[in-house]
Amino acid sequence: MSTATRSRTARPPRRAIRRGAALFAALALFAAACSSDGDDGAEPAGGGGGTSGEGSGSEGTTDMSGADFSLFGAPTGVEGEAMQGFLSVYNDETGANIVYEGSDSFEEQLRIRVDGGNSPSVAFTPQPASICDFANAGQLASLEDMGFDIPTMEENHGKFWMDLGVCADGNHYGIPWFPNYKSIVWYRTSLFEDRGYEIPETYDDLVALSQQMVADGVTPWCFGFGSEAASGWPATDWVEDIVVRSAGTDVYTQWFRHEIPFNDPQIADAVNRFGEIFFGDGFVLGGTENVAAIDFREAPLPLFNEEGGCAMHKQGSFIANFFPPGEEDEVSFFDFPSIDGNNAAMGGGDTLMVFDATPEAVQAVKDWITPDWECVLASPSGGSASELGGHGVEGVERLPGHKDVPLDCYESETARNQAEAVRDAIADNTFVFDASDLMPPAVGQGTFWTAMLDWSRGAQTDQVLTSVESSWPQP
Amino acid sequence: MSNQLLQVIIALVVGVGGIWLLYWGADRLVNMLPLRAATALRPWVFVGPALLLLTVYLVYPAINTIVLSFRDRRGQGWVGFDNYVDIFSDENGRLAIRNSIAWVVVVPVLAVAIGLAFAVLADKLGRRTEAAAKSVIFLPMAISFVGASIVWRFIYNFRPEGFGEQTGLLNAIWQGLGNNPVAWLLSEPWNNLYLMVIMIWLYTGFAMVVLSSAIKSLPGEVLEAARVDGATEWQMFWRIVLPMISSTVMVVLTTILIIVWKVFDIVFVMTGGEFGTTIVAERMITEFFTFRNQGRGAAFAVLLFVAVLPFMTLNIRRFRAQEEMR
Repeated sequence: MSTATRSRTARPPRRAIRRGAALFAALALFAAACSSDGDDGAEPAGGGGGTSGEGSGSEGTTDMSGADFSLFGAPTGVEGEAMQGFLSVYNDETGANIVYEGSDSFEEQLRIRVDGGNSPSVAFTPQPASICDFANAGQLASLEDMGFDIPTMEENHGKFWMDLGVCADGNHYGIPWFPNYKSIVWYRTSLFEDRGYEIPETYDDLVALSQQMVADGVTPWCFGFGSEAASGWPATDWVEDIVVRSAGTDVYTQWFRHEIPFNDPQIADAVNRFGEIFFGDGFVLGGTENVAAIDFREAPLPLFNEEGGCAMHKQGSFIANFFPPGEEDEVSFFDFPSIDGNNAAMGGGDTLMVFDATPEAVQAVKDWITPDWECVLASPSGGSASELGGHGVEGVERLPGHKDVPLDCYESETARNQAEAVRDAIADNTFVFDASDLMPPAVGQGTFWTAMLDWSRGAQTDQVLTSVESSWPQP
Repeated sequence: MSNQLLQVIIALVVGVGGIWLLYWGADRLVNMLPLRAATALRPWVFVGPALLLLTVYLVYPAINTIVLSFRDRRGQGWVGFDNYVDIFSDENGRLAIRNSIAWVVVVPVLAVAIGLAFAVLADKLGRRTEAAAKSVIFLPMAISFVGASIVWRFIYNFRPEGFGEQTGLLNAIWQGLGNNPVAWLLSEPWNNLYLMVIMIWLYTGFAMVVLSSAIKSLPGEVLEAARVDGATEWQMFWRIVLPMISSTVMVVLTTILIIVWKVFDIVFVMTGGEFGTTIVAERMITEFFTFRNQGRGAAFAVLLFVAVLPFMTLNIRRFRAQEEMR
């Protein structure tokens, strides 16, 4: 998972107030069976209004002045402000009145709201595995019903990503929006330049470079696995990036689908390869036993220390939003190196789900995934490519979820480079998702995290992998 | 916005007016009956709606939860006692139960002991000072569990070497005493105790206020008689005060105990149940909402229900006994 962290958010959504009033009336009148089953959604929105399916970049023909609904998502803080900025551009342009609601505990809150019959109209989730839970319960509208053109979408957004939203009835329920790119190692540029370190091409080079650094008196790595109730996920990213390269994409897919056991030797190999770096002598700043206590948002900060910091840190593109303002230029990144000659791009992504398929909501979603609107979401100004400007929040840039988003939408060199890597990967359909997002939540948001935390604090690889295997829910 | 405001106003008028109409109408109907029947029926007419609501919002969900605990993860097929077997055979489930038991032993006892000590000592202060001291100790009661947890995160905060200055209060003190900083929340099994401290901090004020009022309502003659007989303060406390307020102590103890069984926020916010700190209520939320395992989540809920039940009964019995004494 990406930035999803959990704590409480206090802002009561407007819908809740309205529903609260309705509930009060119901209580007062002793209308005992007051609970409505919520918006069962899924009315086929005949007048979806898109001209030539999605991807045309047209604003569509639906009158958006009646679009009065909320978009629910995980981003808060500056990332949440960027979503609000994006929506205000969209509202100004189309006359819609769409409100963004962000929650630090998005996953819990969404489930509570949907189960409580108070679902948002549209939500975007960093956990694609949760899409089919809602879809199979009949709570989502399918892309087929909403009039999306599936083959065009597969071409524009990558078949891998589209397939993640295919549920029990064979229909698509997830709409790819914007990805994270996680196969990234950040490094302190001046340190590499001063000491003449080369960007490693292979994982073995990376291990050798780390050893070289220790010999030179530099601490190579910063790690931080802490993330409140989601602690442990940064470690799973490492394992995934290694599995997809060392064992290949097929095994990667079998792994998250549980077609091979979790403690398969190929997975154990990958974890042990991670151990070559994690447990390397003097490799980890602050000591491995403390990594679980370091918040992932604070983990990259020592990269910016002149002295006594670290040289490298692996984390997704979003972490740049947590860099000290004004010092972003001190670090740069390289792609996670190849293993046994295999390269891959691993990431996450936010996928839209439509709970209440009003024509306006469908039209809005179709607009948002066009290159034009992804360009608005891409950077504060939308770069030189956007005619509509950007979301207006300094320091936040979002990668393209559509292969045709112009690179000129981006302001920083960093974002532009990542956007290029991701865009190419989407076009080639080599962009794979974070496996822990695709596993059943009991594993991907539970025992896998716990296993890696235990492992980081000294538990044996085989032991922790076996405990995950035994926790895999029976179908 | 104005539309919503209108809705709220209409809801209020219809709701409040509706209730009034209902009771007024029911009362008139009852009045039409012969006097004896009316007298017998009237209480039921007035209590009836409340009973109905209680059934719909409390009894029905409780029964439903129990039923759900015998179903599978989707809440559909029957699985018998599998969910319970899983809880007791799973290492994590057993740990949660063990930790919860530690919580319900440690927290109420310490909260009441400290609260009682404060209550007794504050009683010896002047009126102004006593009020001020008690306010300070009662203050944390006003903070939510999540709020308190966030406050305590700053106290337990830890940064290893290289990640900057320590920002945690406890580590600052610890370092000031010449020790190396400690990752408090990772140090098993003591991290459980560090989390319990938060709850004790929150509920000491509650215990203190209730016990203080109990102490103040003790008859002055008894205390005076004891003093005349030459009892020391220590003897007075153990032989006179404590026995006389023992029923209040029990009520406070069981009340806090029930709250402790149900608390999940502190663990959820501080550690997410990792590092050996998981407790039953936290497992319930995680299994039900995060893991989407409805059956096992419900089974944890039933465990909690069963665990709380005897104390609830005890509390009600005590309360009744106390009422009868008056």
